[in-house]
Amino acid sequence: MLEVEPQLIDAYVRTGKMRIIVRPLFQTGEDAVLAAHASECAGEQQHYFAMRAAIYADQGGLYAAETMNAGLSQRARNIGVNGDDFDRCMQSDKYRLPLLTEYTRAKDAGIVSRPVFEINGQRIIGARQFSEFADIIDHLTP
Amino acid sequence: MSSIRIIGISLFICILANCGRQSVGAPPATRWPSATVESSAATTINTTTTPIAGTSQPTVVGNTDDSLASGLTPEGYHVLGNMTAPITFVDYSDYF
Repeated sequence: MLEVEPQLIDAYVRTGKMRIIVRPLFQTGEDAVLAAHASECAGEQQHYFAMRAAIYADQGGLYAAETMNAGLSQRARNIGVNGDDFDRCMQSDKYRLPLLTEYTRAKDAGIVSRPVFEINGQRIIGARQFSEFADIIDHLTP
Repeated sequence: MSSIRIIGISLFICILANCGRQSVGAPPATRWPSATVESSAATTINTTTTPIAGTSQPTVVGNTDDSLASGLTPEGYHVLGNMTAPITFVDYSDYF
């Protein structure tokens, strides 16, 4: 999704044909939970998708940071998020339980691997090239 | 014997009455601690309690840096793009 999402955005989201809804999974452990939490905290300042893009764009850099929290905090600042508010949000841990609850809900809905996508309810399991998504989307687009 | 039966029936009715009161008065489940509260207050469209993101009407809460609309579904899922777009792409996403 790292490479494909920007293509989908350019081709279909910018043209008004498609909206993307993000539902979190945490199959890669605590770091993924922290990253999702960081996105929610950035979202409080209307930077959810910018934070998501920043995390995707520099995963190696995040792992190289002193701590995952420090790396996320720096990236939040880099995209214009108020750092103090972001750090308070992260320290509060307030999104952890809702996120984990959501993960449980997804598992209950049969989402047991990743990546998983749904296009107008049609479930697609596993990574796909842009062209494969485009075939499905073009078929559904009026 | 009949008084015991009356007491038993009364207890049964009392239990039933309390159960009904609890289910009617139970608050709706909320998912997110802050953002969802704003979103729920802002929209009156969704009345379903089933979290089906693809069929729920999202609420715009802002724009991304490159002017794409972003918002939240009534369930609190983040949405990017035209909230009434004909295609809904749900990404079950895991960082890393």
